[in-house]
Amino acid sequence: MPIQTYHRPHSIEEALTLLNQAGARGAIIAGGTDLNPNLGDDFEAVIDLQALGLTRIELADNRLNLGAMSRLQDIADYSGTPTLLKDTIRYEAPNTFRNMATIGGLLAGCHWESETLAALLVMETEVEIRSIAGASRLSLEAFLAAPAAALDKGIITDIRLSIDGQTAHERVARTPMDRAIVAVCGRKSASGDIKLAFTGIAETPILIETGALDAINPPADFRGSSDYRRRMAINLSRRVISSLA
Amino acid sequence: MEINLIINGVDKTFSCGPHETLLKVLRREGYFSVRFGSDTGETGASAVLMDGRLVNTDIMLAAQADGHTLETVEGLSRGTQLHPIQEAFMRTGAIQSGYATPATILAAKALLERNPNPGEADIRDAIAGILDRETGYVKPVQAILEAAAIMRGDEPGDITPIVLTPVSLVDQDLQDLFRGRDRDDAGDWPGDHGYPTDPGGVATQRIAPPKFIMSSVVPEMKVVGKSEVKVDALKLTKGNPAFVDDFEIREMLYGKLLTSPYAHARILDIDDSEAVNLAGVHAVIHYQNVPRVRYASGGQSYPNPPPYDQVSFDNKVRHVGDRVAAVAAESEEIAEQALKLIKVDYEILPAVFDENEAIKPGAPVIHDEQDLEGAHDPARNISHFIEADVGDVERGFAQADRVFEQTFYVHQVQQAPIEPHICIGYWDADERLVLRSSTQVPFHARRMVAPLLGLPVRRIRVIKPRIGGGFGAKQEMLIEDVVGHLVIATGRPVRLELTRAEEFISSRTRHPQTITYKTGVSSDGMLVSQSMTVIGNTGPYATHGLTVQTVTGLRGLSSYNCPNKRFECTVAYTNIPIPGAYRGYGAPQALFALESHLEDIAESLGIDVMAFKSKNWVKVGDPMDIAPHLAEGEAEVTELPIIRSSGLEQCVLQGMQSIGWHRRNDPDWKRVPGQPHLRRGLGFAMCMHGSAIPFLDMGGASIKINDDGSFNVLVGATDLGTGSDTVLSQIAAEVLGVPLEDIIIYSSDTDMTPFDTGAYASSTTYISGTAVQKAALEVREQIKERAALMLGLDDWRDIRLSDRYAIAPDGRSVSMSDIALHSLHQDQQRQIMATASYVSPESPPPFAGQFAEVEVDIETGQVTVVKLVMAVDCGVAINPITASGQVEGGMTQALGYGHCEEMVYDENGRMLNPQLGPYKIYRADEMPELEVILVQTMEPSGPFGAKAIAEIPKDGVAPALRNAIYNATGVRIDRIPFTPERVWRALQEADGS
Repeated sequence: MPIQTYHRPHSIEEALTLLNQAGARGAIIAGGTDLNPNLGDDFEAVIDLQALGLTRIELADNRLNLGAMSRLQDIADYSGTPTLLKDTIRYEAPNTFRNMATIGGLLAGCHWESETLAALLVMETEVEIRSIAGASRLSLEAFLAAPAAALDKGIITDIRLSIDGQTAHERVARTPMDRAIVAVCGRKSASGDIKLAFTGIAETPILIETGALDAINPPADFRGSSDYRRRMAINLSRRVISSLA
Repeated sequence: MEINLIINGVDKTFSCGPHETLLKVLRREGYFSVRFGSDTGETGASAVLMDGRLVNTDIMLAAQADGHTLETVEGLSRGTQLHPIQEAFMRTGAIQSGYATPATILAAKALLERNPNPGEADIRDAIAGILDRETGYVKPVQAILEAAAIMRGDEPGDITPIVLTPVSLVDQDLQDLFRGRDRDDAGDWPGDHGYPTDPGGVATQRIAPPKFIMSSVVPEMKVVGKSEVKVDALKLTKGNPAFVDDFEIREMLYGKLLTSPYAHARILDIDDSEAVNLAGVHAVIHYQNVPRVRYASGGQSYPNPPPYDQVSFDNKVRHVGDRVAAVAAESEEIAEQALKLIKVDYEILPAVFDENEAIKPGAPVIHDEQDLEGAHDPARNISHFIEADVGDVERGFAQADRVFEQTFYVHQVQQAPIEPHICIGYWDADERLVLRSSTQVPFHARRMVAPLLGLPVRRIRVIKPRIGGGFGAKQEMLIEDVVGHLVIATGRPVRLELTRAEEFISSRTRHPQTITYKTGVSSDGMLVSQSMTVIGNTGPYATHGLTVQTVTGLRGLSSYNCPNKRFECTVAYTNIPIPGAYRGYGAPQALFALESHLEDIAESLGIDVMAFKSKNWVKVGDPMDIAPHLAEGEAEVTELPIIRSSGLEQCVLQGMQSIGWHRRNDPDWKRVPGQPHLRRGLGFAMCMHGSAIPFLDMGGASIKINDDGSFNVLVGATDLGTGSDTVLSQIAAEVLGVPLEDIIIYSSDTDMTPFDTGAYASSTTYISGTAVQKAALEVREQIKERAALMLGLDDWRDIRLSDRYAIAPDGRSVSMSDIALHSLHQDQQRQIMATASYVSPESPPPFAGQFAEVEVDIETGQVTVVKLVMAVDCGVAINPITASGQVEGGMTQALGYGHCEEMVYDENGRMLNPQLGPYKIYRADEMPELEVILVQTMEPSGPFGAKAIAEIPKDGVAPALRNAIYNATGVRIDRIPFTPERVWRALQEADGS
């Protein structure tokens, strides 16, 4: 059964009520670029969040605050957005997608090859979720570990990330703008801590210490075997660390 | 539900379902410029501006657009006043098929409104979401740069070709070119200009006219040889309804295919009762209710080369994606629902996918049916066995000083036209079946579909409207039979369009092959003996199975002189989706192996590769001695073809200059400062193709005069976006002494136009062009005769036609319109018209030098292609701008073939990446720099000296990349594509050894 009803709530409360009424047969549309091709017959109701207004993009106290409905293109165009985030958003998809896709939708999609999510991981991103029970905040790392649980009948409303420090980014792909087979985002914070996040080596983008890379067992696909991905994670992390030094 | 929109400044209210995409609703409401390319947003053909931003409508619910403002190309022009972006697209040759041009123009509009002075990188980013299989993005980028300049108030750029100086160096300089010289001594080399290492950011001039080497023996002409604006550019830039699906007919049903989930299975039974009884379903067809008529689906001349190994619906499936059933229903949704209700009882059989495994004893037998016709040895899965000999290779190997043997593997790729296969069929008022189809071969399709439908040819009309690319995938009678069966079953119009996934697994692809070369050479570097042994993989049906492989042999053994040659080819049935025709047609496979093999031989002999190849490659006067033994289909080449024109040496010299070949052995250049993991390299491949199939390809043309002195040119030739309608019109205009605007060309419709074999085998300019030239010459005689009558002259032979006038030797003249009116209305009335056709006894080869510059990351195996240069001898380029566009687009497809595109399967033969992103088609923002140089020669057998150019750009990129990777890293890889892990493993193995 294809979609039977389309909702465009004008408040978060209304959206949450609709979402809870629809249960498992309800789908949230943020930008819709990821979801619409995959709607199939699984959903009866869609709840489009475009009228909620969650589109603010602002800098405050060395943090970038993003409303969950901020479009990727708007974030990339914003002067205060750090270079690493601008670059990884460009690698995410061409502008035909970036003009619709939202940062909240990107988080909810949890794509294992999203370099933007890897960038957000090293930027100590926090995710704010609203549900009927109220608002909660958790780290992006915790969110990615169990997104379904975190999103249980809730809606991502805001994300915040730290923009201080120094960043670096390395990737291997078939062509310059192709999805990376393995990518590494690195950040050295003002305090000198280095964090590395990887795509292409786990079910979701993941923060991992370089010392642990020898033991990883990445999922394989036709573009890269498990062994190759592990080796690339090691090779590319070396380059990122070297440029952060 | 209802949605309210402002579209192109007008308030609109539409009814739609909450599940419907914006694309579907817009097209239903008549916005035909918004086009289907995929249902994943990957092609961008469906993009429109929403609130000024470019968005994909194929992945947006129509409901999401409620309350927003939309712009489509329909709203861009005002009457005849085009938007400057549209004008720039026309002038710069940025439009080929035009299928996704509206989306690209909207992308440009959004960009220029935001940024009136964009750089190239901005432009490439702005159009990156719109995939283009045709232009290589070069001319669209130039068009947008041009439009920006015009909108800022600049003068239009000059599109006159840039004439280069032929390279004519003394021997010492030639040696420098071939062997490299010190960087310090390089001087002012055109190619030595500090190449960007940042791909996608290459500097394109605002307008980069084609670069030309002129031939002194080519006379100056008025229309031919000029970069005329394409005759179909206006309708395409405005997004006018021109394609198969831009058409409305009442009561139309939607067809859908049920395809096999198994690579090899017998269908024990089909229960269609639930599907048939579903409300809105009008027909369900499958093997139990469709007559079993054998055929071969390749769009080729009568009689189609055997085997006849297909039927419309079989009780066996032989690849994932093979046809099982088809449905016609009131809507696509109902048709899809009906497919799910068809119960198919399969007996799953073992399958085989590799061509080498398929022909081993004990392999599953793919064709065990009793009524199979014409296969060589079906019990061993061999559809054909081909042999051809010149001299005696064994004796030659015995005489050679060195013998080298090497095996190469080439893989399966898909043509991926942005417009998928689509056909709309209906009964017309005379109860004849009309098939409006996206086909390269309307006449073959009509002849071939007739027996399958049980209709005489005279009751079928095939109309080929505008086509959104084909590249060989549409050189088939592919879905016309299904549509015909459904029209007959329902009595209603039926539309069937393949999905993107079906386009991959249920249409056609390029043949994989295993190719082994064995070559004997003398100590002084002359080829003495060469054998080429091929195992070709034709999938489960051998459409084009014979002819692609013969072209592999022809191209693989014709480019170099050698007294002893042997071609041996076994064509294997397997269970992969069906290979067929793909631009290049066996040559890209052959040349990857040949040009890699010879590179390695030169290296082993310690001879410079250019010196080695140039010493052996064919030259003017040389025979193509294997050609008579590898004639295509039923045609026999009775005379030994001789090379009559070749600009190959100049092509190679120009290419060497452009790529900066002297850097090849410069260790300082090959390392990248500050990036110790990068290595640079340069590679070369020589290319030689054909122009049509001799004694077989036939083109027809009719020309008639109208009252105003304009001319209708009716041709069966099929413009796929290549510009052939323009080129043929230019030929007619040149002969008739009129400007291009006086030619109204129409192609093609089996009721209206003369026969033509179709758009394939690089034949249209050469064959159909000669037919047009012949018809125009006959019309010209009639015009001169009429002018003589009007002027009271007895002899018309010395009358000439120029600038819309017939001019007598005494200086008196009559205008073309007066001639038309006189002949049609006033005296001794007659219709000035002529029909001519042409078939050629020869197939003159175009030649080219293909060069590549790469950077290889030795820690990851990632190959970044920095620049591709192709210098091509296509004889006289009838239209330099469309010719260079063909090369740019062809090189880009060839880049995908060598570098990244591949069809990948699981162990059960299911394709893992039937989407354009995972399959990987190059985007605008990641392209290498492309350079095209047209080296003019005068081909005596061609129309105005022309040879073909359509396919040769596909031939050389893969070997040039392979040789460049070797130059960069010292590692030889004999299998494509050069994906990161493959290259990295080769580097690891080389390190280990």
